[in-house]
Amino acid sequence: MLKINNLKKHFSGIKAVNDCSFGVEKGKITALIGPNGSGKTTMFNLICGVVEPDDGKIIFSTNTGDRNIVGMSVEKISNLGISRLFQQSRLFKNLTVLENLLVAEDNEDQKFWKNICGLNRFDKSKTEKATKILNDFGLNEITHLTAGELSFGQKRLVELARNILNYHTVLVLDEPVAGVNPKIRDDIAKIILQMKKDGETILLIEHDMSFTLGISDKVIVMDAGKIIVTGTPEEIRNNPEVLRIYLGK
Amino acid sequence: MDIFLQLVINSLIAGAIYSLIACGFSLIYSTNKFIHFAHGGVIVASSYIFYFLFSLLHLEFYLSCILAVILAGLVGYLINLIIYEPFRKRKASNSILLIASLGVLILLESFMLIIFGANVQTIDYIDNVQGLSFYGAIITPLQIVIIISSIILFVFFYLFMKKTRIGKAMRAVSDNVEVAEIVGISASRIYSWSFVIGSMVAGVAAILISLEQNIEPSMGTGLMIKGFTAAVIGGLGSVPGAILGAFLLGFAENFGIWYLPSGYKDAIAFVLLFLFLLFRPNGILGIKYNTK
Repeated sequence: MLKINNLKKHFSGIKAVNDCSFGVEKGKITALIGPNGSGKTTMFNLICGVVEPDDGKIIFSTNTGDRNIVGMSVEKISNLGISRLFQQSRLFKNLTVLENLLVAEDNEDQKFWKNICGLNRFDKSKTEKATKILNDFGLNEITHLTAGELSFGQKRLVELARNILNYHTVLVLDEPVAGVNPKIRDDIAKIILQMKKDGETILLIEHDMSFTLGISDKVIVMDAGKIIVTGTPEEIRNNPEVLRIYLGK
Repeated sequence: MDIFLQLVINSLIAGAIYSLIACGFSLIYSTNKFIHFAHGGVIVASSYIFYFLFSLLHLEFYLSCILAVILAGLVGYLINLIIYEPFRKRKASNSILLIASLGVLILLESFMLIIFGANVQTIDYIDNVQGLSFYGAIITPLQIVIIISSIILFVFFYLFMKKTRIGKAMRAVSDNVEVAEIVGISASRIYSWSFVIGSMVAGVAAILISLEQNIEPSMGTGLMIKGFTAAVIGGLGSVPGAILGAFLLGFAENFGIWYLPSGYKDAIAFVLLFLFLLFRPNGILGIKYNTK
């Protein structure tokens, strides 16, 4: 689904991502773990086109075949099917919860003349789809609120809903349960597991080890910009190198 | 009472014109996050386009208006495409874009000077019309048209931003361009449309100004200062704020010269601008932005 080949990114001499290669399989949850500063978020930024790599390829399987997405604009990568959840909550504060979802749903927003003539309304089925996701997430009471009025946990859920609604074939989730209370953490875990059952392809960064190892099919461990171990959650749990990185043993 | 009412009417007319300038300017600022001073140049260019179509080519009045507004949008689109877009691609800071906008303002005013000369021009569409008396105050039919046109345009603008999908996408880009791109909105396309729409509103302002007063190549700078002041008072980046600021400016100027000589009218605008920049830089309804 997604192949990272020899990806490199340096920031003023610091090797943030140093010759990394891995693959994300279709219908599986792949987790990227590692201590702070290990290069995980940079890796996500490279995949989503927010920063350009110094070297390497990112091959993404699309409807029209495999494409190297390096050098493509952020919105083009998004429209090809990579949907990203940020580490920090980033909703559009001046839009309502429902509008936050609808602007992400398709790419019809920019058709100027259709808009001017009032012909480009949100399709009823799309509004229903957005409303259904909000209902499923238990957010049906707050659809009319602006994002600025929500609690942190609600923002996280709305953002996840927006990611799911945004056209995608791969979901890239950066610390989906960071900072949320245990109830919302469990809700998000259930949502992710349901997505896995539905055959979604997910690439995940998460510091919460029990959460990550509990839901992932494959775990990649990064340290100082390099991939040091790849394996199943069980293999990772017992790997001495991982224990050394995390516990200093 | 007569003077008071006359000043209220004069304030509303000034406010309506300033708000049309500030409205387009604020829309462009809210999405692009830099001060587009060349907006004043677009007003000058649009005034002369209207003058050329109506007074020199003798096209029908309403056709001239429509063409002038469309061409104003085109001028805005081309400024963004030719000047700002290449700078953005080179990751230029907002300060560089601001300096470029001043250059474009001077360039457009100079173009009009070369083509049409330095003499003031007059568009005689509604001349020698008796003003209407309203409790002792006088208002001309054109001034009524200015106020009504502004109100219609504000309603249209509000509906456009609130109800249309492109309006929502503009608000999304205005809020957070990085996230907007992540969800698949093309920021560069939204920038273009904001220039087109903002400049079309400037085109409407230019037509109304051309009908109300004489036009000259250097008028863009003065008008832009008024529009900018209105936007700062209301809060840069907030379109409703810009409208509010424009009317406050109109009232302050007109009531100010009740006590002061009329030559101080522009000074009142500058004093207000300085006061707001010093004590309330986010304006009345302004939003705090993290600009580069």
